[in-house]
Amino acid sequence: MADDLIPSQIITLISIIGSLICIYLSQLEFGGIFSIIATALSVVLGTNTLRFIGKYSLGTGIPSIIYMLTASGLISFIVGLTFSSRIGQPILMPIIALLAAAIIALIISMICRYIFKIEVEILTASFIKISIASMLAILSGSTLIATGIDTTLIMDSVITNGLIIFLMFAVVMSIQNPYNSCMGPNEDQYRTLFLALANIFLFLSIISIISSLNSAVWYIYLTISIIGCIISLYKYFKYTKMQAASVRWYGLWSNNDEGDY
Amino acid sequence: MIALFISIIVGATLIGIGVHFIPVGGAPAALSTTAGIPTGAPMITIGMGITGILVTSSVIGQSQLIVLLSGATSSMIMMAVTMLFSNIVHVYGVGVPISSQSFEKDPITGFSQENYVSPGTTGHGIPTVSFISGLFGALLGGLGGSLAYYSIFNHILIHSSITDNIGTIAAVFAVLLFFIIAVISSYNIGGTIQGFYDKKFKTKIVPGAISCFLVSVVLSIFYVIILGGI
Repeated sequence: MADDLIPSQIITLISIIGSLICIYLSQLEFGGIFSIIATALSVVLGTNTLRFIGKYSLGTGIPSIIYMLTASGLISFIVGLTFSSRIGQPILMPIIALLAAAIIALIISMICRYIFKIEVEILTASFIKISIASMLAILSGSTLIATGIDTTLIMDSVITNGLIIFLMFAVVMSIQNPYNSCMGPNEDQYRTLFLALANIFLFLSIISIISSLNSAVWYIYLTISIIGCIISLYKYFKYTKMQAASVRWYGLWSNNDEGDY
Repeated sequence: MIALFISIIVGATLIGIGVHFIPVGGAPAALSTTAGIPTGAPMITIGMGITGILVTSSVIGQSQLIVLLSGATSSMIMMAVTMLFSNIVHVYGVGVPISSQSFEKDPITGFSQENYVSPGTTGHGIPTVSFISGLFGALLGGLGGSLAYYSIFNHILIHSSITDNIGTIAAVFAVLLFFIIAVISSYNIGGTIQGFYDKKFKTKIVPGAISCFLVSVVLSIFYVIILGGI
């Protein structure tokens, strides 16, 4: 794997804080634009974290990590939704969901480390990051459909009609497919992340059409999603060609003994 | 509330124990270089669970016994069909005899396994004892899934103001249990396993059951928070 051009700490910080701010801003008029930004940011965080944890063999395939952690993210999202409306503070919903996602992922990683004896240093941090990222992605997709973070509206328009499972699979595929597509010795951060962006913008165009249930300006969101998808795909092709040229000119395998690329 | 808490713990632990009985071979089994179902443990368990919950939701008005048994039976049918067709493909398509190196002799048919394992592999296909073990695992998994579905459905029906789409909400929560518990169990298995007659089974089942119990307690607490406020 080549050296990262953007450090993972910066991506983590910008994604979590940026997504939270955008989720709160989604209540404004034309707030769906902020929902789209929040979804894209959180999917980037998930894929970037998977690039590191995916290198370790945990005993089963890479997709299962995302399946498990997105399911826990979804549970924590619903916990945040119901618990915040129960204590009468609906505004705290994203924060409670974030804490719940971190707690579930922490307990799962503790079980992996101390009962199954999986010795991977970055396991706990990666599990927490992916769980939070998937939770934020599902939450921001829901705010796009429900046009805001109103808990009753999200409950009615996303959860009780079962759309939440569609959102979950959209997030699973967007986070996991880029890593599986681009993995290998010549994997590059920009290429993987732009494929993730292309995936989530493709799903966001479908989610924008669904948001016509609640929003009158859904066609603006649809246009933004399609333009984002085309730009990301164009960038992805550009970086793919650059990688292919580097392999063509310098070869795939390094010559040093440790197999470090 | 207590009944919901206990039935989710019991259901999730049953799913977790059931995963250990299913003979999984992963990607090597798809290349006929090891015995077992040619996919990962999470995938086959999620497929089995969704089949069980689908049938459970269609008979939900009946008595509890019928609901639980139909979920378990449909999971078993799904598992049996998968294993049978995997064996048909192995025998008639790939052209390898069904055998496994994990045990010397099949205790049910009495067939010796050692001579039929191709050199360089650890077996191919699903032998009879692994087939029975897979059916038993599907029984436990389907029972656990339908128990969780049934208790969540009844709790929402009795204690909540929601009147329509109860089946959808209960199905979402029951499927999510499979997603988490199946992956936890497959981390414990760590590769391939050939059912309860495998030597590996004895060392794996106890930590697997404990960890699934712990995870299910945590999940039940979150589920009670959710379903109490829904």
